[in-house]
Amino acid sequence: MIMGYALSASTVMGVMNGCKADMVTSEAGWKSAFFDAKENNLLEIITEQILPATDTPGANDVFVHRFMDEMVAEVYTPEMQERFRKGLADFAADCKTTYGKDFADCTDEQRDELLLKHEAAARAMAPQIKEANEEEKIRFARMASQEMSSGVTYQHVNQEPFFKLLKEMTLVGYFTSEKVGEEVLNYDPIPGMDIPCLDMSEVPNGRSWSL
Amino acid sequence: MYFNSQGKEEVTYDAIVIGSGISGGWAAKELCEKGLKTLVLERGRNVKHVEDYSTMWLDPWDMPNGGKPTQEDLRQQGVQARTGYTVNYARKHFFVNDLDHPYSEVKRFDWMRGYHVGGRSLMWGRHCYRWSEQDFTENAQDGFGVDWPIRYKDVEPWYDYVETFVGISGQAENHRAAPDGKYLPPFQLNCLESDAREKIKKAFPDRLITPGRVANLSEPYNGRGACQRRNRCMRGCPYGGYFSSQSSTLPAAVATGNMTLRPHSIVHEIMYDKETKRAKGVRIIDELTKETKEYFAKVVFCCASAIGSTSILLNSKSDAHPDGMGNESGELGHNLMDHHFKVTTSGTYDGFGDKYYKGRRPAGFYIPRFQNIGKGTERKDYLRGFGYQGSASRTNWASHIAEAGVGKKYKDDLFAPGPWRMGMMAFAEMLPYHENRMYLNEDKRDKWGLPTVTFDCETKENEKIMRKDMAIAGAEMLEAAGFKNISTQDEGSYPGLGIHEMGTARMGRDPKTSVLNGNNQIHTVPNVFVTDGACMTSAACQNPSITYMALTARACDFAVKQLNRNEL
Repeated sequence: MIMGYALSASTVMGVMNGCKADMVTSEAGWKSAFFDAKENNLLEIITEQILPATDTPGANDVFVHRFMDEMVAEVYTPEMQERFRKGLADFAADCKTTYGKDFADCTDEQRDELLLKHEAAARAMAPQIKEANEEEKIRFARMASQEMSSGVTYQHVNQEPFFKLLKEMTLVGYFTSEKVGEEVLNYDPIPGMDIPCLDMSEVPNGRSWSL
Repeated sequence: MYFNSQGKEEVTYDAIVIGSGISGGWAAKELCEKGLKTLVLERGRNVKHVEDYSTMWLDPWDMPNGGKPTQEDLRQQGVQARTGYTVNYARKHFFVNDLDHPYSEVKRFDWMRGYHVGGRSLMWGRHCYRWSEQDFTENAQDGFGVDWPIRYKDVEPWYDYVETFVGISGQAENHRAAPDGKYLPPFQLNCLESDAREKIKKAFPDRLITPGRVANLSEPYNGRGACQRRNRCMRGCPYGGYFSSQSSTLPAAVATGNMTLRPHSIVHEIMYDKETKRAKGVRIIDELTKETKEYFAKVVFCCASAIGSTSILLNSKSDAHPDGMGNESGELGHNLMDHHFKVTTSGTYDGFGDKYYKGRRPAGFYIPRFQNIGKGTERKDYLRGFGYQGSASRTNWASHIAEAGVGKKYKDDLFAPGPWRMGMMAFAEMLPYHENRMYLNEDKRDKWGLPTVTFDCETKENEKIMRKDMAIAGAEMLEAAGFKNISTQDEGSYPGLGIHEMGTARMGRDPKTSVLNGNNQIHTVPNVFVTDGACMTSAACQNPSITYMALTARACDFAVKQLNRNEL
């Protein structure tokens, strides 16, 4: 399990009842649940390129790619997993084609250029709404009339392109990490009272609340 | 367990309450406080106040995947997941496992359940709006459903009574569709909401933005701690900052020494005595051991939630009641309603860039119904009406996900609050249609051998037409308040999703067309009371729980007076 690294192993075990057995917080011990070593390395570099360390932590400081691995392994459907994996492979291949080298060996400028190109292409795609086919419609209707309904509640399957999935998980993994949530954004776990109209000048660093 | 002087488990009580949720907790409190030895039978596990709120302190980084449901979660709670928020690590343990609790849908019905002590009083939205006189008379006026056998004046003292105990934070407004109640100071509107309130009032005098009236304590009250503005209510509150059976009614019942609470007790039948023509008690199956047991009492309160109570009544067949207890009219299971919603309007605002807020209020604002409430508000295209819940806030990093950009500058811009947005969602009345119903399926039984429920219910023409105006009226308000980029969306709303399922054992004046009388008694079995959502004769558009509480307290008062006069 990827956690903000500040938690001790015993705290992690205490909180994460039911999580996979091989979760550890140290980098050396961490094992991926979905991505292979090459994919992992690539995601580590991509996420840091999207959210680099400045005077605030970068993606790698809070192990965003590990969050991503667990999300894809446990939350994504099999179809989404394959869509993501293929998108990542296509991205890596396009890097080779465009610059003649791996993303890891590209310059900063090349990396940003490639990322922005793929982002623009993803944004330009019309919403990929796959209409449920006849089989799926029948399956849904049958499930609806039987006791057991599965998680399928959509007649249309919204197919977000790879880059949109990547961007979303990068930001979510970063901003919901413990370090960013507690030390970078403004952390207010027990407000006590609410102040409905507060001057921005009174907000530390002018940053938004993490919760 | 309560043992009598012979050391045997006591099976005879003055009163039995089926269910321990919003209405069951109230029945327990009222009956116990009036001196009745009361057995409260809850089908699910115990959840102890504070002690069993396992996720109450967790931050997003304390939860796997930030709390998002896994594929395995969705396999076990696929129906509960239809709301989009129930199956989250923080709260999924308070919603049923759908594999254990299957049901059938002739038409889609999203049945959200919490089977544990406290029921959905642990996870409810906490909004509390009184019905107005019109809500009680509208069936009679437009001919849909049957006339309520009570009026606002019958319920008004009981609204006073329950609100005084519960503690509702809100603001008196003297608006005809939202009678004012007994309120603690409101959770105040923020800068933009206050500004919008004024602008909307100028453009549309009947459309009022008011602080949401919620069963959260804006200040310490009645021995319970104040809400700490964490907005994690659905996990259970360590401060007792909102009303639930756990925080409020059950402790009051316990304090009397008259309550026995038996969890894991699935009531499936009310036993009828044909000599006395009364109920004599209930039969249960123990959830864990599958033992069957019988308990006896002079009076039975059905508070098992609308579908739960009606299922028990349908299953309580006898020679006198071949189609289920109280079903002489044939209406038991019929006239099923829910609120339809999921029409949202939102927009962005250019301004108040130097303003923010602190604390996470447990409520935003409410806009009471302004359609078909008389005097120039009549609609030609639909009957009844709707209200809105909404809030304004500043966007954060999440709204930047959809924006292009990578790198240092992109990241550094993500930490500051973004522009203000306001959104609102309409909650609307569904007419009582006889053909909307639930019934028991004897052929499909659950793991306790009990028949499962089948739903055959849908929104119809009036609801569909109303939804168009729900979007338009919302957009009009945002426009009047100076918002830009106004968008409306109808995500579709299936019955059940509102989690305000009502009807199926309705109150009425005539035993030929209703199940209950004006005292929530079954017409033909006067010592059985139904005071949860099942009793509702129409749905109105207001969140119903405070009305269930008022009707429960009123019916308990009546029941005990009748008992004391030997008239039950």
